[in-house]
Amino acid sequence: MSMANGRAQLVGGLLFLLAAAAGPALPDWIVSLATIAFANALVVLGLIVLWRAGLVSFGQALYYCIGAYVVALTARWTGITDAFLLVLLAGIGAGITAVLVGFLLARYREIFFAMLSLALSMILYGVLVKTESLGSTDGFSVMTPTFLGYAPHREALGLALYWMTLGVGAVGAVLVGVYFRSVAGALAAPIRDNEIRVEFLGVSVNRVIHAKVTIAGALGGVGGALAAMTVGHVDPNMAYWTTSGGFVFVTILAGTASVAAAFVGSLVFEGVRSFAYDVMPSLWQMTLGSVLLLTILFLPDGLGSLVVKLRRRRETKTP
Amino acid sequence: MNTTAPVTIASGERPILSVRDLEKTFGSLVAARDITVSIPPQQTVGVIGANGAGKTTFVNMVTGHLMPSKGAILFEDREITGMPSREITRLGISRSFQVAQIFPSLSVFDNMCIAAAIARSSGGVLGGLASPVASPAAIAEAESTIELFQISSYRDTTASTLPQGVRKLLDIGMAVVGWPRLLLLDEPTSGISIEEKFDLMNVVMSALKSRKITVLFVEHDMEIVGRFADRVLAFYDGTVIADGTPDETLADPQVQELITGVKLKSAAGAGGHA
Amino acid sequence: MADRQALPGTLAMSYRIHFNESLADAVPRIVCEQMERAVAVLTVPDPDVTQAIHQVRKRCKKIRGLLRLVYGRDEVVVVLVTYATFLILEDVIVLIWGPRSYAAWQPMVAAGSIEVGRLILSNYDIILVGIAAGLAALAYWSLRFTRYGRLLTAVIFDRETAAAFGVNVTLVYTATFLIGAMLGALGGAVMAPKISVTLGIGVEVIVLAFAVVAIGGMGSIEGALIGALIVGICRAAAVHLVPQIELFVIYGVMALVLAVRPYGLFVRAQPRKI
Repeated sequence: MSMANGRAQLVGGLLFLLAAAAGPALPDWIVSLATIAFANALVVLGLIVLWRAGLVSFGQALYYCIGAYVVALTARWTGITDAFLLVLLAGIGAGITAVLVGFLLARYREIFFAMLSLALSMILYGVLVKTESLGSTDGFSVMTPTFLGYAPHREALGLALYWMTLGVGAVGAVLVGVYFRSVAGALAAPIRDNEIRVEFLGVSVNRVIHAKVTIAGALGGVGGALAAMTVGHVDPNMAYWTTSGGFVFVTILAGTASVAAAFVGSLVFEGVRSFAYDVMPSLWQMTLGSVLLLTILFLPDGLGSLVVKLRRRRETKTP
Repeated sequence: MNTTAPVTIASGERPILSVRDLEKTFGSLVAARDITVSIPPQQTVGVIGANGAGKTTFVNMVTGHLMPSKGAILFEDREITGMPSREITRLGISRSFQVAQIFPSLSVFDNMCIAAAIARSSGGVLGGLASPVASPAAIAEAESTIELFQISSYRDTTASTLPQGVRKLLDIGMAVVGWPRLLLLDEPTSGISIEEKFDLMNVVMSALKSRKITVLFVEHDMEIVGRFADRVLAFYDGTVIADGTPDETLADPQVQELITGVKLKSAAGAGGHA
Repeated sequence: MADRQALPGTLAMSYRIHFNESLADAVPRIVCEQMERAVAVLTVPDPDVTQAIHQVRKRCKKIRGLLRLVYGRDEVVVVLVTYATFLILEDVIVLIWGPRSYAAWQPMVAAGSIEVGRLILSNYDIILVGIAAGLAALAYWSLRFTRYGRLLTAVIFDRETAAAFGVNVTLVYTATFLIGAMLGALGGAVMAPKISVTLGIGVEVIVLAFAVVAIGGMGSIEGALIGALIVGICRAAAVHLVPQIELFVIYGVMALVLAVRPYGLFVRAQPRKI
């Protein structure tokens, strides 16, 4: 098992480097699309952490939005524009929120967990919409970020954000991978299978889930921060349930089998969504809904499971 | 009523488990009352009694699944009454279940490995985060326990497809992989066919003896109880009505009247069942 | 196919699902194989009847293990499917009615109002309360006194046992889902005169409905009534005093209730029996 892991990590690392190197050669809109996709992939990583334990959160947009607004407000109120610092603050802010939310959320499972997380994100939406000083439904724009003193413009800015998102994404992927190989991470399947036995083996399941909620929240906040800087604008829609639904969609599409799936799946989703919106703007939601339905019914473990099946078939065919 | 415990605690020897005036009520239902028992280390205690007599309630209280209404439970002189099960497990008391509680989607090896990894980790969330689950030590413990319970041929089988006997062995193995000092087995042979019961108990008991574990097992088959127990506790209506060697307890007239039934002298040598 | 040859010592105890075989094909194939082998054991005369029965039992257990693997789809799948359906229906609504919002105040105005002391109450609101109360009574009565209601209760309690007794679980679930959907549609219909009918009102009501169910307890009709009253009053107070914290207040109350009663006001926790 460790052999496959090592190889997968190598391949993953190479792909990241490839993506980074390809940046300057790609047109702006693809770079921008990819940046958003990888920022969202971080949120999806958080969802995967929870999903493996049997918990589906329909409210990751809460942390996504908090991360975004932390970036926007910090820049506006304190003048800090350093991207690295802002992302760090966003992650911390979202993480603290997740710790607080976790005290309530970690006691529940299944549908209750899903609906409660949805409700909490909608509360934030409601508050933001009704707060005139924060621009209500229009939101407000994000100041241009700087990178350790360096202040790029236009294409250079796009590339800088792209590379930063790739870098943060890679770090996130590695950390989450380490987490999955730890006891707490590996407890996901046992908790999903038989919580009581896990308790009898000597573990507080609620505390492990609380930790997972926190990790997912921090990842969500970092993703939201990167997205906010890339788009240049924040608004309450980032907390709306359709945003959460989009992350859930990608997770279903990608499956929870691997960390890489989050990034690939997110890229595919962004591509498909842009394409559907351009080609059939009045039917793109229906398209997404149908794809989702088909995936749930016929490919419940996501696209990632196809890769696993192909790999296994290749292994059995070799004499 | 013969209640002298021949297996008295030798002076100076600390009992591994000591229970005093234990009681549990659910509303108006008294599930257990006046239970006072002392168990010396490495004894094998059989617990008999009809369904509903309070045996599983007793096990649940000792292992932290139920909070006693009254009384005290001490493990090696340390009060553990009302502690949650995960803390009690960390102290050294483990249990197996009437219906095997395993992780159906994982293989036998993964089941055992996660149990071993948890036992080796410190228990706090941060401590658990730090230690890798597939550490060589955990793997080694898992492999040796699988071998100890003789289920190596099922090592990579998905747990949901296991035959009942192997399930039970896995269930017990997971409770043992962390080297507990006291193990409570709740009907280890339930659901096992009569021929296979003895084989299973032989494997289990030799495994437990090799690790010097004190055992308390709930059982309905009197032949099994007679063969494997050093001492037998008889439960009836929520309390202990007899406590002695298997021969003594099974010969006790009250036990015979209420639990086992009077043994008929028949040629077929039918074993008793409660 | 490799699994037809018995592996030495295992009596062909395992079964395999092939990679290029869909689950929809594999499950019936395996069930048939196991049943065939079970029948074969029974038709071949075996001097040891108990052994034969045990072999048959093992076959049946194999089938059950497989079904559990496939059947154990999370409850949350329902939520995901509902979400997918929601996306599709949103566009369908736009296709049929266009993206504009509608106002349907006519019934409300036509119903008029009455004066009670110093308050002027809308007759339509009173009718709404009446409808809600009537539906609650109907739901309660049908759950207790109709055949469907009793079947549903059985399925909720223990789906496997109900299925074993011949209850068509899928049919019961489908009927329940349809009734729930119809009630939702009815709710939207009677509320239409009071609000602005646009896209997205469905989700906003989910947030409120969830708070109601959480406070009252899932599965409790009395809970839904009391929860709705609490949420309604809190919401009205908040909107009147500090509109921004409307949802905050409702969910704050919910959090308070859950802190004391984790499963809602009218639902007791069910500890799992082990």
